[in-house]
Amino acid sequence: MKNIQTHLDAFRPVIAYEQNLGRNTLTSLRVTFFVLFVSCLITIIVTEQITGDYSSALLGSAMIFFALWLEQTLLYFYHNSFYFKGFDSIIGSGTKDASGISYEVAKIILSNERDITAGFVQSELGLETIIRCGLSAESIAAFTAANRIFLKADTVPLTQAQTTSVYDLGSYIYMYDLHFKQWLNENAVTHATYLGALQFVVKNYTRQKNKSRWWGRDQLSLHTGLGRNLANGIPYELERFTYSVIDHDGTNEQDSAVASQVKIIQKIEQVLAKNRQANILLIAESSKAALDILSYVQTRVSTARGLNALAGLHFSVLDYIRLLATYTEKHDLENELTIMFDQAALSGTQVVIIPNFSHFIAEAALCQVNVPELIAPYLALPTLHIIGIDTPHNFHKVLHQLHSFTGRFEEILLEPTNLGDTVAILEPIALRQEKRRGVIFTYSAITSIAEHADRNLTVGTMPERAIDFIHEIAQLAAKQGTVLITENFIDEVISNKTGIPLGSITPAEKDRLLNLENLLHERVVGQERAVHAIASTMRRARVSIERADKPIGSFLFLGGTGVGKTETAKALADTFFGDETKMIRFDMSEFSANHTLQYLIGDGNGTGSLTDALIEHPYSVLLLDEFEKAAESVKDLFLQILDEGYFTSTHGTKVNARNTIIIATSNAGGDLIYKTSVTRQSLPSLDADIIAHIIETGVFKPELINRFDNTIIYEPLDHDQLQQVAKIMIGDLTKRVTDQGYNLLVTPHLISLLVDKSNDPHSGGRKITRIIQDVLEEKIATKIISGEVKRGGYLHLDVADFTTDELLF
Amino acid sequence: MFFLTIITDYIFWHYTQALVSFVRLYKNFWWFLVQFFSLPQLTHSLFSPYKRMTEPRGSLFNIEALINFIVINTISRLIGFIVRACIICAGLLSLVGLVIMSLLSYSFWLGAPVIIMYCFGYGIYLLF
Repeated sequence: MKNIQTHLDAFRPVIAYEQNLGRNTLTSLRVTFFVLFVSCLITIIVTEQITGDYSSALLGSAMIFFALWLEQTLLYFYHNSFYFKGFDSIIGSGTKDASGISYEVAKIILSNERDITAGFVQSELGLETIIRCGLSAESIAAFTAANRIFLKADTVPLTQAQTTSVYDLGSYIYMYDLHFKQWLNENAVTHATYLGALQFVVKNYTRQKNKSRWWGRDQLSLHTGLGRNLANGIPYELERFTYSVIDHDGTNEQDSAVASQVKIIQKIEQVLAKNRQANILLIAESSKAALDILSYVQTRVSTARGLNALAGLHFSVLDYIRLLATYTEKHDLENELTIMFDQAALSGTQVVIIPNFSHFIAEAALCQVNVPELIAPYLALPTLHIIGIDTPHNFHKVLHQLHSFTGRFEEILLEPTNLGDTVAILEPIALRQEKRRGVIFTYSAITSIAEHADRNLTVGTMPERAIDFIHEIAQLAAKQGTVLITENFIDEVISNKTGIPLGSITPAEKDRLLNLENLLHERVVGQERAVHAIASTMRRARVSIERADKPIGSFLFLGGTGVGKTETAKALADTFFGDETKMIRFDMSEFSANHTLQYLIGDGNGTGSLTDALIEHPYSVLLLDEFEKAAESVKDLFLQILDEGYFTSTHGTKVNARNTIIIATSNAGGDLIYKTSVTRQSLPSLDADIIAHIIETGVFKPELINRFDNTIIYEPLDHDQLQQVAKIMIGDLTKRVTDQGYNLLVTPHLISLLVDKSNDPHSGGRKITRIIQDVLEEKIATKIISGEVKRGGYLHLDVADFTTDELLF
Repeated sequence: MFFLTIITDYIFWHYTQALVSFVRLYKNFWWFLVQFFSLPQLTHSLFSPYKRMTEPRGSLFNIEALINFIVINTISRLIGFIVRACIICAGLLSLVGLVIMSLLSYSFWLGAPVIIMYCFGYGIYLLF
């Protein structure tokens, strides 16, 4: 078995040769020698024609130039055999010995055999990787100059199954060069980011390099065959109202967008290869995504990369709007459709794609044309394939009702892409944008775009959202003159768009986060444990160490009436989203019957209130008051929302709840909590008992309670806390009175008296609120109306201002 | 020294690995030409009507329709055959060309180092 040194020795001469002259110089030399050789030949021929003779020196020169050209050409082939090492496996023609190292690996190692890490970071690919990790050239220079333990060439292991690539080398360096690893970690470059960036750079380089290898089978297969169309017929009528699926969009981005959807592509090809009823109903949120997939399948078929059975198939998209505009009469439309499908069936190679299938059926029905009935005879033909595209919403609403018709189609659901696929889709787009706008994306910026598009942006479907967002980012960066687009840049854009605090924490935000308890306490009296638990969860959410595929935070607040549960929710909306009104409130007692679930998620006729609220206010606190009163089906819905951060509406659309803080309040266990206050037992010791009691009584299932980030028990308010509540309420009242042009002074004696009289553990702070409204506001109103106090004057309220009856409540 | 190393390595490569690559390259081009001229598809559909343009048979006792049916379909098949046969011939010629070119290149490749030395040596001789 060969070791790394043997392989390096084999590469040594060619790499030295390239380092001395360079591949471009070698090409120039080759061309120059050839031109000189041809020039000499022409001169010989011309002089021979004119003078009847030619000089032997000219012939000698021609022979020397020919020899030099041939020598350079042979050396070029020789160089290529090393330069493209490992590429045979790509063309599929196979090579028995795939082991060894790639040209780039050899070049990196040979550039510095004593310190391969330095060789790597100073190489073209290594440097690009490190820059895409967000590090600067200065930082790289400082790292290579630092005192380190070197990783030597002979330690690099060889993979037997395939050629060792720069990716393998880079991974190896990360694993075994601890200084390198530490340097990256210190600069906040994680293992995943580094490997992602490395793979991105190597993949792009390899793709570009492979393009120059025109003699490879995969490059040759890109040419469309000459005689394919001759074997098939031309459906002239169909061609009038269709266009090729490849023309549906000129963005050229579909290849990258669908390359990751391997399973879907395979499934489409398998269905189309069936002998009969090879028709598909492609259900996708976006018809563009579906057409992208079909366009990709068409490319595969026309370059002989698809299944053999599909050879020669033409995918045409029906422009039904134009068709319906041309034929408005029942008879004409039916006649035209019949001729079109007859010709298509006769040609034997047509795949007719009908976008917005249900819309086409509905619009044709307006002309009294029953499309399903008309198409039905063609569905069983082996010579014609029909692909309908529709959204999940329309599929459920319209097509699903036509069982006997849709039953003849194979239903294929196009799932939105996952995060890894989205990043793979964005990579080539990022490269194109870099070229066009003169910017550079760091790898973490690309992953960040994918994550934010998935989590924080709500308009449109994935991956289109991410594609639109990356275009927007590149445009914005170019406009602002930002060259290196980092994760922070993306965070700033998203923060400005959504109001969600993201990115590096500013000093002001740092203060706010560290003092979150105090800020909440400005509005919430007591409830130390509750406030602390909420603040901790929100801090974790801010530094993104929580799962991204669930809501920002979710809490179940348990406790009696008037203990500050709703006020906490408002305070949280104010602190986290910067506005108290960013709170959607649902009184769950309205959803106590099972059928009320449809009011939340919608039914066949309309959208639901929860769906609407989350679409209109995706960044907010979702407050579910009296959650225990909700029906089981409604609780089950929230079980999914708490776990996955989204739910599927009746129309089949995914509704995102990942940008919300969900707070469910409940009085369940209130009596038990009250008893503990009466017996003066400490609540922390009883938390488990209270939760167990709630589960035992069947109010909430254990799995539902466990889905919340935190179940928080609100303690009944004691006398001092009620006094604080009263002071806050009177403070609010004072402000309102001041706004009207009066000054209000309420004596402590009166406050104490009011608190004493409202001390009811069952109603918490709610009673004091009512008393202040009923007694103080009433008294103030009377004094203002009677003219007892003038604008700018003082309203002084003491116990003496009230009769005994007025203080009876 | 470097020059000597590269020459020895080169000569070894020229008569071992390069010959294998030569065969692989030849196979690639053969495969490409077969695909490019769609030879299997055209051979299978050699006598099919041109672009599947046909005339329906119509009524059994309508002589005019019957003549139409026979004439048009025959012409269609005839044109189809001619066009396909032309492409098949072009494809076959290309394949023959490929075989000839490959054999010539292969022979030239085997003698290339000698040709270089001869041309270079004889060129210098002629020059001076």
